[in-house]
Amino acid sequence: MNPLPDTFHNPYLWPLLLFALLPMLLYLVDRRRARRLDWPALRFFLTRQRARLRWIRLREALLILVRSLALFLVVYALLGPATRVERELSSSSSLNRGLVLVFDTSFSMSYRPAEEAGDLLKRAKTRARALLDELRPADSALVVSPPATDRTPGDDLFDLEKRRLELEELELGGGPFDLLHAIDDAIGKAALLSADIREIYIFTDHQAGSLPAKEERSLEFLASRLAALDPAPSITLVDCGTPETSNHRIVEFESDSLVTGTDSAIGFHVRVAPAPGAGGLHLRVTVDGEVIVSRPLEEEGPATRELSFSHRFSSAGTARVSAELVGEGAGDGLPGDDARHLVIEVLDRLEVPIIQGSPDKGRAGGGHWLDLALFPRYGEGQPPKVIFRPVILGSAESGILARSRVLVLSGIPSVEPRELELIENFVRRGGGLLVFADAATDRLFANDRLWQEGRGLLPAALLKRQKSETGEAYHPVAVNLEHPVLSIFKGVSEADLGRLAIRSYWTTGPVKEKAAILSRTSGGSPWIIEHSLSDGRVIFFATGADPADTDLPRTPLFVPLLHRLIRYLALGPSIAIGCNQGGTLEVALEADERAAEIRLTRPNGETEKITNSTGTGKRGVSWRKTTQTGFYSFDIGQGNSGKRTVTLAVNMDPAESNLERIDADSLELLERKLGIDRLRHSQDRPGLRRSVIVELEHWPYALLASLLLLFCELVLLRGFASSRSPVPAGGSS
Amino acid sequence: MTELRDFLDPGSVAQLERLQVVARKIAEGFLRGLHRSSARGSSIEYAEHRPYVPGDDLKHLDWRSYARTDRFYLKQFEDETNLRATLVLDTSASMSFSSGEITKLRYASCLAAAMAYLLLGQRDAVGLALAGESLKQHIPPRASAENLAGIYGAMEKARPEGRTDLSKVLSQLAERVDPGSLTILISDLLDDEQSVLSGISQLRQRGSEVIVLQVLDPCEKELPFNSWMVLRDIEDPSIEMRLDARQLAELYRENFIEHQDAIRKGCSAAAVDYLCLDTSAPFANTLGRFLHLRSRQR
Repeated sequence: MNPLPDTFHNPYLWPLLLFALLPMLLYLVDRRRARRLDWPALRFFLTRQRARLRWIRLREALLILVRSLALFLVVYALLGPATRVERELSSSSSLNRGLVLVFDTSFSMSYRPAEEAGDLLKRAKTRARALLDELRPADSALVVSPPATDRTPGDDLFDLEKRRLELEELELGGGPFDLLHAIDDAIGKAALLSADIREIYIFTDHQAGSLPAKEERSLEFLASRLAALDPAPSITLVDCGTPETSNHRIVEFESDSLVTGTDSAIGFHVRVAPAPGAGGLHLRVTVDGEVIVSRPLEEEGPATRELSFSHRFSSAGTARVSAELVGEGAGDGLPGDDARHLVIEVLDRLEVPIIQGSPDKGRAGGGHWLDLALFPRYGEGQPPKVIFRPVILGSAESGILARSRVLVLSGIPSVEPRELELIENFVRRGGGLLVFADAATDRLFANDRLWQEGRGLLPAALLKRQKSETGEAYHPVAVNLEHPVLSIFKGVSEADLGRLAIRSYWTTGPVKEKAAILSRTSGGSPWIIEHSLSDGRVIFFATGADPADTDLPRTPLFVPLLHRLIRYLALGPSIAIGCNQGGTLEVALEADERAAEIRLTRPNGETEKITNSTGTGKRGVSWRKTTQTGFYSFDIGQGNSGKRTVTLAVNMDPAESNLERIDADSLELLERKLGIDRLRHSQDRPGLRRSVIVELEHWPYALLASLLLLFCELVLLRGFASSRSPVPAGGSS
Repeated sequence: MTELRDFLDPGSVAQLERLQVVARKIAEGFLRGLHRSSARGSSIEYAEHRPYVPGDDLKHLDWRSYARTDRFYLKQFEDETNLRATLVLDTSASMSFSSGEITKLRYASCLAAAMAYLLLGQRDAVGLALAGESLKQHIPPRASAENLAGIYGAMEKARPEGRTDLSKVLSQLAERVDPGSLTILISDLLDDEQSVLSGISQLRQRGSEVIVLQVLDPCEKELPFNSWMVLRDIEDPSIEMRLDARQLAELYRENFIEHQDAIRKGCSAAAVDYLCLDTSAPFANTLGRFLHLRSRQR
């Protein structure tokens, strides 16, 4: 046994060891304060007692040493030192055990090793079953699969049969596995077990993502939690993974937008990680089952490859776009990450409401110019194939806004509070807003109702109208050509933009903190400003949309600029609809749909009627059973006997498909900090511990030694005196 | 006004300069105290009266008795033999120690002076020997006032210095004393007891009676300190020691007691009277004890 302690329960008492120096310090201080005195009998005394004096000096040194040592031992005992000793448990031992079995049920455990019929979770269950079989009736156990809800164990801790059932019912879908949280949770569960021996077994595939970067503080916290329990549970990490995996996967599949029009193509980007040495693989992209792209993947190449392509959807509706790895060698142990899916909404018509005040007499308002630019339809020939359908309105109408994705304010008319509320709610729910501030803009109304001290629709307050008085017009400067909208002006058009004449504009106050100034006038004030309001976006022009303020409507720049603006605001990047495998699909229901019948079609084609008991909520549907990857369709019956279908995509979490294992250094850190045992070979079957780690406290021995030393001190103090017999005092003869 | 009893107090005595005065005051004070207490048997003035018979020396008529009784009585002195006594006074450096109002040497000198006075009053011859590392000075015993003055002067001039070697001093003295004489050694005896006893035995071998009066300061019998001390030997300043008085007090005291026991036993074995005196003790007590010893010797 190592005589040195492995741990100290009260390390914060280390400074008390300085007290061990106290006897020495007192001795030195006392000695320094000695008085000098001439003494008549000193020589006489020294001559007679030289040997005794030497012994007395030695005794004094011994006393200081003994006292220091005794103090040191007392403080040492207070520090709570302990040594971990391993003791063998005999088969007839009467000690009872409490087991906490923790399972990684993340989707990486669905990996199927080539040599086995089941997946890694099945492998884990087999091993856990073997442990449960070794338990006796007096033993207790808990089955935990994080992130499990807190469960207060009841009397069924000793119901091992129930544990076996729970084990069999374990399913994938527990979400990403965090090893440290799992250990923390397991320690808490172990504390609830009143057993002589507590054991924690963690069954996981050792995925690197389950152990965050070296967090020593977290480990120290866990170590202190372990040490606080008596008996402290042992922790065994059961590796249910495989050292070598063959898994190719699609790491990422994205599009420029999840909403597009039939009038333009959108870009798709795929990132693939083929398994090393896997040949014959193809990347296949389908839209509603129809192959649009098929590219072979070379056997040799970088670990991660990126492919991009564009596609123009020809018909409106919901398009199911899937990227898959197919071909020879496509099958691997984890099929769920061999494909990723996107749901794209395709529009062949996009209404663009344009709200403007009344145009000036004799001059078309900005709305007219916007209308023409968005859907140029005058003149001979067929109207362009654009999906925009501008609708000029005098006021906001809830019906139109409900089916629109973008709204244009030409000028800032004074709208009714109800309309303003409609517009604001529209934007906050994800709608796009394009604002042109012209001469007719009511500054007071705009600042009071649309700026609202930074809480409203406008990105800045309007100050005054600035006109070029000398005849020299202003021009756009500092244009952000990296912006998705303004990037079209890179190259030749950039010069044209710089020559654009701005005759009058609104100066603004300081813009909102997170607003972006996309361009300024040469007068210094912002010209184009973008900002977000909840889920929606707003782009503001400090000039009107008609030629009164700028030449822009008359230039060839206007149409492409406007089209890009509208696409950006209406069809721009949006949050993917769907969830990761194991997550929850949410479908909002309209008021007249809440009592409607809802039928779900899963990726494997199975359908199921959703009743109130299976997921229908009051305002929407929440569906949690998303273990399959692919498309989930919710057919919602409507009140007028119509039907609405909502299609959502479920993909494997890319983190789960990364089967890279925890590195050796991290595992050794775990071992060192928490005393974790590791079963290194994945084929090992863990048995219950045959030995138990017992903490041997040092403090009783330290206190005993301290008492012995104090006894030695007494002996030293009295032994010298008691060796002399009492002598009468001197007197007359 | 200085009371008579003040001269019996060592503290007060120390204030007086002249030993002659001191000696007389002490002796007279002692005697008068004896009278008041009517303690007979220890007086050295006279032992008894006897009726006058024609032919007696009128010098010894007790006129006071005549005044009281109307009869003539002669004072009869105890001792009509001439004793030759030598006072040996230790004047080594250790005798300069004092923890109170009077040094050991001063105390010893006063005591010796008083004794000399009393001895001479009894018509004994008294002499002086000053002891240190060797016999510093020797005044042979004579029964004369001039000798007594010389003794006083020598004691007054004596300075405590040097080391103590009583063995050497006493052996030197032994060659000078007469058999049947009395040697009174007044010293702190802070020397090797064998050495001291060896010197005493030499005197005894010469036939001299010896009385040993050990004069000590109350403090030097112990280490009355509660802290670390750096002590330097008075006689040999090169000897210095840093010690914890609390740790060594017991040993020191026992050592002293051992030393005194050894001397006491040695004196007893050599038929030498021994007294241990404290410089805080009144002279009357000391003189009383001395005279008690004296009376036993007759």
